[in-house]
Amino acid sequence: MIEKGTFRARVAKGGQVRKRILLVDDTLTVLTLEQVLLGPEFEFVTAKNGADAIKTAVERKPDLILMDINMPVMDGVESLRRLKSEAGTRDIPVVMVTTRGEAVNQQKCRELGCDEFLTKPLARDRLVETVKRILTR
Amino acid sequence: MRTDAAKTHLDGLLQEARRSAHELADELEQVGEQHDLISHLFVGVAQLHASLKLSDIVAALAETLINLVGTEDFALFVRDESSGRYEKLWWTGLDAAHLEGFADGQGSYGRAVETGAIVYDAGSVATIPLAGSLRPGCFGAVVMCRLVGHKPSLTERDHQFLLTFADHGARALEAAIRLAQTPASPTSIADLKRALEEAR
Repeated sequence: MIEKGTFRARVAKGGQVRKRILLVDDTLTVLTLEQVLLGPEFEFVTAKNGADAIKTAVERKPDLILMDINMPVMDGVESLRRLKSEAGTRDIPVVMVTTRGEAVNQQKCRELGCDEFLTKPLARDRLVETVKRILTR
Repeated sequence: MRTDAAKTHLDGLLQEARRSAHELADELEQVGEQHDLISHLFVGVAQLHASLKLSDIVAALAETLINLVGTEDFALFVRDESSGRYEKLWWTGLDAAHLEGFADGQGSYGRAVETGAIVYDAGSVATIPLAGSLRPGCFGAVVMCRLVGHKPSLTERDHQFLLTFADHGARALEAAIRLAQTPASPTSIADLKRALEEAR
């Protein structure tokens, strides 16, 4: 069954299927900025915390997850751990996005299987390059 | 001879093509930078004008400075009309917690509100004056004490962003403060129509 609204959102001009990216952040500012910077080439779904991210990842099967670390309810590190331990979500690449670039956080996330780290404030070039590189691997 | 002439001609064309490629690459980079700046401005400004509640505006201001500029240590000062001094209304971060109020012209913070221009100095990253539209001069300032650890300094994009952001931030904050200070606003359509008539 085609989910309502999904078909149009996934098919771009020229009939190409858009890659679906799950954006996870507790602030509307970052969720909006990520969509504006990445542009219409992608389809976006959003989640406001780590728990919401797991639920959305299972339901919507994104091609990539871009996730903040510091969030209420469930932080990004715990969410990453659960995503990577579930058979249905473990193969989805995850890019962690954080304000602080501490080595401890980075090390922990890499051990849990995160693919890349991006620090805020996000720069368009770096964000687009990272997302495209991971999606075309 | 003809071969030499043809080679020279081709070399010239090749040089021209290389020059064009460099120019196009530079233009592409500039367009990318503009896109980046406009995207940041759109997102920052949209959040500021999405509400009239003071708490929402301060949250939008903070979210923007943290996520789009890269500071987690800053304070919002607002002018106390009774004393004429600028007092701390909201802050986050260790350095900002210790900031004291200041007067017009006092130090770099006071210089920013006195002149209405952003002041960059060694003591703080930047003092952004907030000038409203309801009365002349500044009614407040944002003092940015420190950038996040992985960001050594403000970029050219940040400088351009802060200029526009200061303007919109000031308008949004001024309106929210004014609304918070207003005891009761007209609620019926007749009241609103009367208010519009009075404004003509």
